[in-house]
Amino acid sequence: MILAVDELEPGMVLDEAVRTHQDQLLLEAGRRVTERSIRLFKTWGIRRVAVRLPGEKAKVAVSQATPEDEEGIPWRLKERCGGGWNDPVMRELLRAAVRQLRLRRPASEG
Amino acid sequence: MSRPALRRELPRIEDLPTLPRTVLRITELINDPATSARDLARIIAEDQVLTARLLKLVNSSFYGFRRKIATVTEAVLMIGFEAVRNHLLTTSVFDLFPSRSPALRRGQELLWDHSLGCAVAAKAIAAAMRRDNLEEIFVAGLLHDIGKIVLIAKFPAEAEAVAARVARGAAILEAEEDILGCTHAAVGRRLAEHWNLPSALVQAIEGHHPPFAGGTPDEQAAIVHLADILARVLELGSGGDDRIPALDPAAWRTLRLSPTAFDAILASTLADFDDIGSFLR
Repeated sequence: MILAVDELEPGMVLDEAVRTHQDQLLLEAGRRVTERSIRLFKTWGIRRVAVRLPGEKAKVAVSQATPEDEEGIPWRLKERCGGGWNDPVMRELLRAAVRQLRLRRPASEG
Repeated sequence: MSRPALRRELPRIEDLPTLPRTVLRITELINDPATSARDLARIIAEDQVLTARLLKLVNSSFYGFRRKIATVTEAVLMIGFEAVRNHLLTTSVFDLFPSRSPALRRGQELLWDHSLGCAVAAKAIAAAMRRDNLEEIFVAGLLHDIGKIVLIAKFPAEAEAVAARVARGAAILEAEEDILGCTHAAVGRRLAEHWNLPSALVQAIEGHHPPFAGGTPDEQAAIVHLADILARVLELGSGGDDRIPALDPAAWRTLRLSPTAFDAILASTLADFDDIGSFLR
């Protein structure tokens, strides 16, 4: 569920990592939001954040169905890269991997 | 065991496992110029498991021979002495470390798949670089994490502590350094030296993680570093944590590859993994 930063409350669990416009990681998926992280999000101009409600399943559990960015790369893959994502060669690599994994498993692509 | 105690003990683990006698004999035979394919085949044929593995391998698409290879002698002639030794070595390695704990055994299976993924990726990278020592590179990929296998087998409690910390989000190298006082790369080097493996292989095992000694990795270490990343991106098994390491710029420069090569490398990696995995697993 997507909430505006003003609606966040300490203790809520992030469903997706929060990143700056420069793609710097502020808080990883699965971490709890604190007063401090809410201030941090505001400082960095973050407007909306995906949080997990109690009982809601983590998105990260479904690897093929994770939301993708505008380049078609699953967010989860980007998160696993940490800072390495900023490398253009790594981005090329991930794009190629997504293409090849689709070719390998056409049936399981929803 | 306390951390400093373990740190002292690791450099001189005396009871590191030795290779199976058959594999040792085969290694000796291959080093002897007087050995014929028939001599070699006779020793291999004494061991049913090794025979089955070798025949499955030569008939897999990894080699892509058009007709069926039915005898060990023929297999030896087709792929060569070195390839036979490398493959018997690698398939024997993982038999050496049976684990009793189900959780650790699961970890070992995932690690085996990760090693295999890294091996086929390394071979695909070397092929894209038009190298001809593909067998050797394959083995380097397969053995790069051998230190992790030793840690799981020799220090199960510490290995579980490392796994628990990794599950909470730590990177494996930091967790190992913290709990064991050394990394799997250092332990792997010790084992590789104990087995008298070639020095390029020792370097690939010890030095597949940046930062590289002297800033620039040698070619094999650079290939294994990229192959490790590919296996993780493609989620072939698990190297013990979920991270995809950053591509080291010095390693990338060493490889002199273009990103346009990735599609072919990845496609070949996936195809080889599915195919070869069915006989090595």
